Amino acid sequence: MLELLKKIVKAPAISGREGAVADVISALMEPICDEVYRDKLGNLIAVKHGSAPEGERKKIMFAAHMDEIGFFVTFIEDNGYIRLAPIGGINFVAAAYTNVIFANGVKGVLVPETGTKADALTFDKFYVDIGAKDKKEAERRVKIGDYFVIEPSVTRLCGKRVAGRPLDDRVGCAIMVETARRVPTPRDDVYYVFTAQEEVGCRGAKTAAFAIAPDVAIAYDVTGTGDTIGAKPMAVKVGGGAAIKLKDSSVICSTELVAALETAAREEKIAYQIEILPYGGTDTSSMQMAGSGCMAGCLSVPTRYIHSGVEMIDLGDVEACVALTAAYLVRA
Amino acid sequence: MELKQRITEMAGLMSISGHENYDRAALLDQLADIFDEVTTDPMGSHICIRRCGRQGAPKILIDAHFDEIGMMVTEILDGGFLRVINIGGIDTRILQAGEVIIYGEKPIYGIIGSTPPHLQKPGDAKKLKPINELLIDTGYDKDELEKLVRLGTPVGFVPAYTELLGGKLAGKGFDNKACGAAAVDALSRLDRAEMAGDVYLLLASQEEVGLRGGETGAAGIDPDYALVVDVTHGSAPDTKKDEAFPLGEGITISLSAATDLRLTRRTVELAREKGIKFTRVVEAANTGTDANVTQLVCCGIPTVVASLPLRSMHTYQEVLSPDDAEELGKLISAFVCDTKIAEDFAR
Repeated sequence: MLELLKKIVKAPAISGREGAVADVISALMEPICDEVYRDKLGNLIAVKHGSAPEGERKKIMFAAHMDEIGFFVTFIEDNGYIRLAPIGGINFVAAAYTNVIFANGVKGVLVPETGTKADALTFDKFYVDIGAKDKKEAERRVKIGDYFVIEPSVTRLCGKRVAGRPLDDRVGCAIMVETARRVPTPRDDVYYVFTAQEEVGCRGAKTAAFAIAPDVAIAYDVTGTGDTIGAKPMAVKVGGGAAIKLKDSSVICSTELVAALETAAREEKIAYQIEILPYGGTDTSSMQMAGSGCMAGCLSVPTRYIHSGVEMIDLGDVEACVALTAAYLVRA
Repeated sequence: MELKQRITEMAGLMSISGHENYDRAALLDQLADIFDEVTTDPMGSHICIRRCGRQGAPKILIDAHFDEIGMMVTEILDGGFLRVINIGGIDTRILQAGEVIIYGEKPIYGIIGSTPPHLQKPGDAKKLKPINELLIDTGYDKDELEKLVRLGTPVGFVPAYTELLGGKLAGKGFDNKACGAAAVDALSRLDRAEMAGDVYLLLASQEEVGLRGGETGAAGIDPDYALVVDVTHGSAPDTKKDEAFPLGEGITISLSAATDLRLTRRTVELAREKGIKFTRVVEAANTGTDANVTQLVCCGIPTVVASLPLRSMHTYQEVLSPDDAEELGKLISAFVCDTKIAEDFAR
């Protein structure tokens, strides 16, 4: 799982520019799926046809988003410093003084203007220093409209803990790839959808779900936890198992699906916890509300320090998500 | 059955957003013999179809959201206490010392605890405790409670109804099941041959958390035109004239950029023809109802909005006048029977 995750985090892919990571995942899914294609919004869709007779198969859609938060280049200063616009919910405290990498491989550091106080860290106070001596040299490497991200990394910590970025939501993509490997002959038709533009409003999942019109949809994404110093009370913790979402700000998960996931977890003795997130949103709502609607839920990976360079997860929870999905597919 | 009874029976069901199926059997009883078909879609909206019997007749949508505000358990604490968060826009000020039902393995009665004045710190009385700091007192032990209640268990207000002077009713869930009941009542009295099309009553889910079930429900039906019925604010001495409307003086019809002008004009004309008591209300860009989404699904659905005045909205003692609900019922009947609208808006 760690190797898979490392492979998938490496490709930089901000919202709307998911091609690089789609290439990586596509290569992983092609040998194990019946059909792999991309839609017009940039979603990557891998289909595994079910073994049940035609007409008796449900359409099950799984979704994890490929896109990550990042930055567009908006302007290059005369001295070669590069100004930016954020894509998605950047935490600028976490973004200060980090290594960044452009899609073309150019590296730089993301820094705030000298003297900026911590509570004034907004995107217009930031620039990227790629070490260019002037505008001309900078322009040879980077042009307006290029994008960059904080450098991807995956670091193994104690036990099964891993920190790095963008675990949001490449860990969800990894769960889906691993599930497809582990369930080679599902009974129902399974659509593994690696979605685009989640970080800017859960957009890709909406159009993909409209086109697929699934009976059941499950999103795989990270969720906040209550287990850090200063965290708001929340029952979810890293290492506590797969988090079965009941609600976040954008969705109330379908009760029958929540019950089915809980039953599967209990019967297979898979560690799980119940997630009630007082904020946030995921592809779940987009799928639930696409077209005339479908039954939708979400399995979350409890994650500390989301949207920073040191997002932290427990591989045990990731494994629990895979096992639970496989168990659900048998029972769906 | 009297409309008053229909209103309290439907309002008394547990239908907190996301749990609109909880009392489905009881709802089906209330709808029995009125509809040709009642189905529940994947979002939990109930779609009640009454056909006019003619081939190729237009599809008329009446949207009345069926969900109600409530709470959800987030933590089970020592001593039999529960912490909750809100589902929908609960008025947190009214919660302390309120009575609730926790819909666990069996319904459990609970009281929302409050800090006695003696134990409050100076200044506490002026502060509003956020909902996640309130504790529900169940009287059980934690061990016992954990057998019955889990994270995510819904918590709702007690369905107890009081008749006030002048026949007005007080209780929970009138937003928006009073409008649903008015629609069911009106349709139950209609002769199918009078109807200008097949009527789809959409008892929509999840309106209180973001107009969700109304969107998918309407998309599934793809009607020719729609009437959205919901509550509006009832007036009191401290409300403004343009934002609240007197109880007992009829319903409101919305004039809004977000609804269909021609359909609204004809509905207003129809209300006048039928002697229905109504006021026109301007809601410039947004009616705050399912109409926001109804009109945008599929290729666009001409939509009109009518509302029932309700005092103390989003509390467990909402107050309405059944006379206004009668007027709303009359409008719904007139709307679904109007051949002029059918001619103009059938696709």
